[in-house]
Amino acid sequence: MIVNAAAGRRAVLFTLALTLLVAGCRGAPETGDPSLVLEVAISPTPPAVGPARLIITLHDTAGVPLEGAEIRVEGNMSHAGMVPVLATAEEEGKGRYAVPDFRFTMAGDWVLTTRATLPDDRWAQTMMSTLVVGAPTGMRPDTAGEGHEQGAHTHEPGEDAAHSVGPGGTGEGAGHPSHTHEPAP
Amino acid sequence: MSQATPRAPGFDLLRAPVVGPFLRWRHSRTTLQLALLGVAVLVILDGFWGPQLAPKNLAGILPWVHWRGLVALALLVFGNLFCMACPFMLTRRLAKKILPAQRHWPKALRLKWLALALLFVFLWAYEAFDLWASPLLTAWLALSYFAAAFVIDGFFRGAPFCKYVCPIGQFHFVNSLASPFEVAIREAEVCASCRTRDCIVGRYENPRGLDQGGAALKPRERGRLLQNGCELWLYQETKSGNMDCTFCMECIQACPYDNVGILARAPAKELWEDPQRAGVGRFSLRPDLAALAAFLTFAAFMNAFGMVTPVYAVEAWIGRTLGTDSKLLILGILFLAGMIVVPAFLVAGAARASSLLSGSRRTVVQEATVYAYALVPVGFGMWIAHYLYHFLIGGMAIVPAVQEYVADLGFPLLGAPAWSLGPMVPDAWLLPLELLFLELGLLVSLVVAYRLGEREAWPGSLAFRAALPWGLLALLLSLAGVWLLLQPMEMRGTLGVG
Repeated sequence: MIVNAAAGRRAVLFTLALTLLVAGCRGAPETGDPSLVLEVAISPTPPAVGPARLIITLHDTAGVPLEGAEIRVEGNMSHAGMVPVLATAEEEGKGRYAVPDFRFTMAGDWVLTTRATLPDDRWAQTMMSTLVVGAPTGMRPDTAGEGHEQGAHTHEPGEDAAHSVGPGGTGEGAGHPSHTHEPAP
Repeated sequence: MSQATPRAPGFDLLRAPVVGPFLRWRHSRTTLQLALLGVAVLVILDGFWGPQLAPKNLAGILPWVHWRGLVALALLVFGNLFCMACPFMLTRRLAKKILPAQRHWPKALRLKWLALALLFVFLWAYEAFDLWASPLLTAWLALSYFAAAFVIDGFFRGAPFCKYVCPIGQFHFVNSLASPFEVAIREAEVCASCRTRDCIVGRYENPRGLDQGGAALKPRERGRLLQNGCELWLYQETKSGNMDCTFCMECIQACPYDNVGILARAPAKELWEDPQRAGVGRFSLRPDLAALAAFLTFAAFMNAFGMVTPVYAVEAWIGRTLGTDSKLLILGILFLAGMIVVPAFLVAGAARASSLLSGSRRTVVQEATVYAYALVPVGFGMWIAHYLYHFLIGGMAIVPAVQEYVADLGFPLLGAPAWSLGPMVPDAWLLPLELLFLELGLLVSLVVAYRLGEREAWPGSLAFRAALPWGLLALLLSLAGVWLLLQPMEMRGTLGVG
């Protein structure tokens, strides 16, 4: 195909420059207030397709529970194109919040992004990944006990998965290997 | 030896309103390529520097939800649109200007075996490294593609990257055999009287050598090159079908007689025709092509198998049996078995059965090379079912992703991201649509198998017997596809969130 080489080069360079300028501005997620500690646990563990309970605790670095926060949770699958699950947590007092009916819509790897915003506008955010199994029993008997390739699913039956973020981070980069597993509060 | 069936004058896309003038425009391909180049640049930039959560990243959404779905749709209703618009070829154009590009592609590599191997590696890597869940790796993949096209076509003549290397191109070539459009000549008589062959050698300042008497001018006598000819060595007069055709439209632009069009045709018909094709040869004498066709067919089912719940039980079993927890090894073995070993046995079995039933004296490889093309439509049906599923269930997810992208740049012009957007059709439509495409593929495979039997079996009354094993194999694959589509999906992937 015949093209005006100079015009073509200009068009390519212009497109590249514009896109670099625009896309390069997109930075990493903000980290929130480092004095806040946000912890998320899921019950049951591993969660199955269907409803699960999310238990969220929010306190400061001194361990003082923080009340009155608005806490939103967004669940995304690792594959693009699936509609996320959105929920707002209910406050239960003493820095404890819960989403009683968080519905996982498909089996697979999920990322839960939890963001807490206090009345004074301080906020914290944490991201945790979890494997959602297809059914409590039947289809895939091997995975719950053995973990899977991304590793670190070492929950014992009945134990809740938990993830926390505190000073120095927001849970960024918190894939399976960096999970903290704690008994449910 | 059969010849290409003379084509009755039919619908020519180049003569259609709106689309025709655009496609005839000399810069139409470049325009499409620049558009996709912009998309590719966005994918690369967001993949490297955007959030590493695929649903929030353009590198997670555009390639794996939209590009794949639109490729399947384009192949179904048009042809090889995405080779036509391939942005990687812009780097080739650049490479041809600044690198020597004088070497000939090695003879030993002028078959599809290398591309088949790379296609296997691509599909294995897709699962092994969860490319669909990793914007970063997706960005690296796109960047590697640009680099590979630049280097290979910068040092070798023509377009060996497209013809012998590109795994995506092979996917397009094979599945476009069932597409409804083809770049082809309008009138054979015009080509018969042409002595300059601009469609293959390019159009020069002095192209009409023979008009001035004597032999055609040698390239160096023709003056400046005004228009490239086909870089994939498909000479239009004897070109037949879509194999190796990138719809680059160089031949359309080069032909001084305006004798090349984008013509409608009976989809899949070329699968049972076996003319001597320019730049390709006869399908029945190309085991590499037949292997590629069979490989892509079985790969369609294995690729879908990687996304349903039972695959993890199989992976766990392989891991236990071999005493390994290496995902790369386990998936390598699984895919080797599912895309190479088992298909080889099944195809060989069908070939042997076909020989026995029809009294053919061909070897197993020869028989398979004749009939393996019958499997292409059922494989294509499965690819469509799989890729359209992702596109239809998540096509609208690009809207909130772009909203957030623009807002992240500091320009919240598009409002708050509407994360509830995703599906393009009601959920209830998805399974029926998937089954429809799969079974249409089966139907066409059965027709192709029978037509191949008619062509090859002697006497003709043995056509049904010759085709029977291939029809049964296509049916078996179709049933496997139905089973796959009825399985619960389970999408796991490496989660480097952030």
